[in-house]
Amino acid sequence: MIGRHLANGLGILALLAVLVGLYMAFFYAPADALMGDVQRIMYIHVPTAWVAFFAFFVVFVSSLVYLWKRLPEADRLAYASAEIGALFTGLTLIDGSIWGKPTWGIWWTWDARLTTTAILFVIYVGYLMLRSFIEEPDRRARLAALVGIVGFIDVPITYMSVLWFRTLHQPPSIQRGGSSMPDTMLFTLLLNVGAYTLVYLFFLVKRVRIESLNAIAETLVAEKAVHD
Amino acid sequence: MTNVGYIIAAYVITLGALALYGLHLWSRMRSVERQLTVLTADEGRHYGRQ
Repeated sequence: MIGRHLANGLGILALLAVLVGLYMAFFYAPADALMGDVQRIMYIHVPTAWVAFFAFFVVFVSSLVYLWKRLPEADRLAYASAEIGALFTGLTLIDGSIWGKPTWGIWWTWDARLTTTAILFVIYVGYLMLRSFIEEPDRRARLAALVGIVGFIDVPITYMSVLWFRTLHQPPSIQRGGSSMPDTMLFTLLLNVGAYTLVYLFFLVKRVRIESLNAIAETLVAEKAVHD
Repeated sequence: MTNVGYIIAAYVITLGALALYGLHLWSRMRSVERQLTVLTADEGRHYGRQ
């Protein structure tokens, strides 16, 4: 388990990285030639979307590990990552919508990328609801792992939706062939992706620790009930 | 709303939500740590009685 000092160090590093990322988004990166300053929303929209995808990948892998090895730690990791991933997906939808209004003239459209992202949000909110409905820990972990594995199918669909379908949403900012952005914009974007990944890792460490302490508390309560 | 308003709204909502979630985690951590302190103290008293 990661020590408290290391976790707090990670938190301070994440905060500093976010502050540097903010500075770069507003004072280092140039305004977009077509969209102007409103394109600066990209430096928060793309990182939140990336973190959401990464968080759900962690849910997917931890769920597989849980079904294979039945490790409670893997279940706790999946739970923590799903909660943070759902938060980041919600934020991606909100800041994307705010960016959409001045760019497309609408807050929302049932475009392939937006729709698949909304479905992703619903899947993982459903995952969290499922966990809260089932009392029995083994059954809860088993069913949640199944949803965590099947639900992940929507992540590559969401990512590829802008390439597979005709959409309003722009194609990926960074692709295998490189990026169409100038280096200053690309560097700012990558730094922000790193910063929000650190925020995710900090939240993950804290959230997993809360679950581990909860498990210890539940064991102590059960032992106390037996002794009394 | 001008474009500046959209930019500020996106950043304030995102960063504000993350800060609130951080506070929520901190509060839950403190709560479960307090619960554990009480439970381990009870456990100590229980074994002390035996």
